Amino acid sequence: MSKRSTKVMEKVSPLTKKREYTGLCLTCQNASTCIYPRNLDQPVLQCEEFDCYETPMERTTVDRILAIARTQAESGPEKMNSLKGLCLNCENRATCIFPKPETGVWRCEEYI
Amino acid sequence: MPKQKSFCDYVVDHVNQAASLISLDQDIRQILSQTINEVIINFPVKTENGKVEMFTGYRVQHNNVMGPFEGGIRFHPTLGIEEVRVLANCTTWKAAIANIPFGGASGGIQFDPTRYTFNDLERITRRFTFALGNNIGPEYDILAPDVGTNSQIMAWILDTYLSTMPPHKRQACKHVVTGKPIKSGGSQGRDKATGQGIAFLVQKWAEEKNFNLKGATYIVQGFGNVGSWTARLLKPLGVRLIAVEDFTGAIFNPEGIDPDDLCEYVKKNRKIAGYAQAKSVDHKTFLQTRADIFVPAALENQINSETAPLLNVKLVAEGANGPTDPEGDQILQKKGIDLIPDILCNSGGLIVSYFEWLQNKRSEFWELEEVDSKLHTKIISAYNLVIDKSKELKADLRTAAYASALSRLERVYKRRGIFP
Repeated sequence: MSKRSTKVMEKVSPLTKKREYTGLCLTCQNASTCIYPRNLDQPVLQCEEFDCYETPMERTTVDRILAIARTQAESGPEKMNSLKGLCLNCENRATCIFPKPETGVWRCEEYI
Repeated sequence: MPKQKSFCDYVVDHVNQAASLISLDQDIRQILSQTINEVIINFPVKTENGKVEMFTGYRVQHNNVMGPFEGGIRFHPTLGIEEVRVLANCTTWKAAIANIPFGGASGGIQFDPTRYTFNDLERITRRFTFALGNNIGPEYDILAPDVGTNSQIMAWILDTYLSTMPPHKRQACKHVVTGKPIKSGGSQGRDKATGQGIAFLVQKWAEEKNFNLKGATYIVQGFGNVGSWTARLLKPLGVRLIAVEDFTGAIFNPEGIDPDDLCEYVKKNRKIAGYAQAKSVDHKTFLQTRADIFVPAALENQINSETAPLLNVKLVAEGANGPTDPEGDQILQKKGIDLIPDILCNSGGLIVSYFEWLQNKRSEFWELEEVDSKLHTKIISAYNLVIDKSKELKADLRTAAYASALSRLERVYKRRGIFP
């Protein structure tokens, strides 16, 4: 193969039978379905479609929102909305079982 | 078989070609061929699970003769010093063409951000920023988002950097980072800036060629930030989008595809495949589509010896970085297809980053109209500069763009001299 080829070249590991992407494709969520011709001898360094749709940040945020939504569904939105002080933005607020004073919690060793 | 050239090799080739064409002073060529500073930091971070992990971070500062270093921060497992050097280089040339008082830099951390929790990411980012210490600063080296980083990461960098400053200096240091959320000092219009720049340049090209954009057609490869914004901003000019390709496939509708509607579809489905208002076509058919303008806004080396002969357009406006390889370039020239090179065409993002820096520095907040108007002035004057250089050197626009950048840097060095 002396002439350059632009066909999709995906190295297939004989042991794992998996495609071995390099460069940006290595961690891109679209790598397995991407149709763009790539040459794995030269890893992609620039791609406008590199996927960060669900970064850990977004995942964590979604997880928290879902946990809060679940608690709201179970205990009623009033309980969550009435949180004061540190509980207002504590990561544990959805699952915390400590009794809370009406005036709000201002010191808590479990606050995150 | 000789090793195939990479995006990095092509950049070096372009610079060398332009340097030879303008007979760049050998001393200055020597200076520009090397980076000024290269910082490699190995730093420990205690992750959420209590373990201590070592990370390697980079900051490469290529040149600051025009102004403070500026460049992206990239979080990726394959990041290495070679790659960071080239990315830093590219920023120097881009800033010089646009006549922005910035030098070029780049950096990042070699790790996979998707494998860490939100809290770990914050720790890693803050520890890296702290380790960079005085190697960054609002008047020295400004950081911006790149692959794997976003406005949240920039906000953490800013907060960590400010925490290391004396309280009375903190407000004056906000411009150590660009690409911030608008509420934390970011600029209006930053999101669409690259696409807006491309739309302005396409308009200018049409004016120069006496080409009527109303009723003209275009195709776009890539429907991420750059591709989608370009498509949406070309729509009001009366240009008709007839084909789009993303990583899932290509779609075609000779009657026209509404970019705003497609954006809504992509927002929901994260891909263009399955869009009902157009028919699905393969990669080759997409490239062969007869249209007036092609905007490659996906990844490198898409227009090459095999794909360039397929193109059936009058203009290629490079939204992505390095979408055309040198063989592709030659074929486009032979076919008489005009090309606005990436280093000029997608510089809108860098220009608006500069505007953000300037607003923070002056404690100002510009309205979107002001940002757009200033972007138009900057990018069109860069275009005119490259066109003039191209006529002067009888060279293609890509070579002329690099030559313009080198000439500008050469002038500054010659005027200032070399110390001592």
